[in-house]
Amino acid sequence: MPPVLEYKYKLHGLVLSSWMPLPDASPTGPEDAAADIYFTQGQVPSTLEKPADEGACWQSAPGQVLVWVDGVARFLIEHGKSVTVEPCDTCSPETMSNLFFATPLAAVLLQRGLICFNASAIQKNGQTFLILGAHGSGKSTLAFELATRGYQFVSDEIVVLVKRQDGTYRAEPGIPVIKLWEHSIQLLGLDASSLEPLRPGVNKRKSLMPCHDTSDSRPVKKIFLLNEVVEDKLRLEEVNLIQKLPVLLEFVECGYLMKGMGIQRTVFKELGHVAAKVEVINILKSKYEFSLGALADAVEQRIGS
Amino acid sequence: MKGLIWLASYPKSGNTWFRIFLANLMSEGEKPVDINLLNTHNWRARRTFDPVAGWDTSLLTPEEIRVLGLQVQRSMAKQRPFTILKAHDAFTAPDGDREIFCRDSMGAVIYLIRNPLDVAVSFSHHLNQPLDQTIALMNRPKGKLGEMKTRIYPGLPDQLRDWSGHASSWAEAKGIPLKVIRYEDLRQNPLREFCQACAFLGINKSQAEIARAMANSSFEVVKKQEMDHGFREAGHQRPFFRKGTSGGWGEALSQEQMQSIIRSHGEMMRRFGYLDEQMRPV
Repeated sequence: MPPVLEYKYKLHGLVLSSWMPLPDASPTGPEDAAADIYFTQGQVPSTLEKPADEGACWQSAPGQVLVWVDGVARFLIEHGKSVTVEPCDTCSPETMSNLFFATPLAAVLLQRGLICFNASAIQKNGQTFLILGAHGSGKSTLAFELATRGYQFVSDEIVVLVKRQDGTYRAEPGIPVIKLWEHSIQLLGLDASSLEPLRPGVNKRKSLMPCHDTSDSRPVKKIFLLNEVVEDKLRLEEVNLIQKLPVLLEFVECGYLMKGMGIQRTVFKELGHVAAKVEVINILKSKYEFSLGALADAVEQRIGS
Repeated sequence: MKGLIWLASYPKSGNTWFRIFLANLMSEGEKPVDINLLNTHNWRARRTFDPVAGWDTSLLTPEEIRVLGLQVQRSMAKQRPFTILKAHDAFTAPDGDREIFCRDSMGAVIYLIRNPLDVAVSFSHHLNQPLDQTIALMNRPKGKLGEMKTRIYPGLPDQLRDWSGHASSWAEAKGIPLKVIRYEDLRQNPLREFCQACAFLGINKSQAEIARAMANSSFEVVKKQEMDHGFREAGHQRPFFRKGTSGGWGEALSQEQMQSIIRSHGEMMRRFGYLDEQMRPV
């Protein structure tokens, strides 16, 4: 019997039912179906019974992931359906919400067999474009800049691709929030005081993205990969089919969980299909000279080509 | 040797040179390794740290990250024994004396130290900022490197402390397997120093192999590689491998700048042979 929970949200093409309010997520409409994922509070074990793989603060096994921050909260993610949190007394709702939208959400999506990238996504003219890159490479900043140029925001941090019956891959809208570093806020010419801090003690702020539409998803046309290189000028080049797969694999969100979950082969196979369908373009950003405007111009030009 | 191998230093004190040497030694190749493909990781790089931690560390507070850092080290030592890691952090955090490094997962530490007068010149060049600003950072008890204010930084901030605090936190740490190497000694007698370092780390290589790795990591070789192909660890618009000398500070620092460094770090400088008994630069 599924739990009856007070709050319901729509994200990544799924309905999430939660025991606590998650203000960053979009509430469901009256037409939305029963919940796909349940986020509840409860007791969480200190260890999985049979972990197949583990890191400093995570364990994974088929159908189960345990992840925690000492002194803050522990999360148990099971079978692509439930996330249980056991918060410490000092854990604030905003901290719990921010943590939920990170590894626990990625884990439950991976358990459901979905392709999740650590990426940003925007769309225009019926086509979706993904921006992949390492932490701090500027994905969110570029997505925000493109949103100011008329692109519709789709998702940031976690981008989920869903294969439709027509064979296309669609990026389902995530939470309508972009999290920006102080430097990005300056670069984008935003007023930091108008943006809500992520958490006390964390030097990041969040911007609500108004163009978000949770009922809409469009085929993924191109994937841009942000890379910093020791070259003098910005350059874009297409990634060939052989190189695509390792590139895409590198940016699977929380990809380190896959081995213990026993889903590596499935994900690999699915990424192979994505690689065959979608153009991947390497953006080689000069380490020495950076202009956000020039970067966005180059991406727009490539989108139009 | 069990546990993590740390190459620790204040920035611009020979850490990268040592890493390139080790990469060449381990590759056992005839040709120099590509300086853009070094296999010794900066443990503060988020692409190294976050997957082991299990969290996007941009969501966490500095104290949560410090605690997590100890757990990350334990996990790394368990999963990947004999991992060589680069660190610019002091042994203890600037706020209080909480340790940043996990003693029970520590295999060995090479601590590289360099005359702070030379460090100031090289660091200023690397950061592309004026000498006075760099000296102020070196004198700041809570100095940090890589906070997200001037650019997006793909790593977690390095907890530097001031130059003396950095040096004393490592050199005076009790009960850790530590070998301190002066950059100046490494330059003056590299074969002896590298051989001793290898023996300390339990790396079983012949003198000929060490000499070959030294040749493949010489200043001229790495400088040429950087000129030909760039170096991804370089600062903004500045070459990383600049002069590779010791004692060049005399041409770059004013008397006032020199005195500022000596006033702040005189005791540690004298201890490591950078000042004589009268507190004059050696």
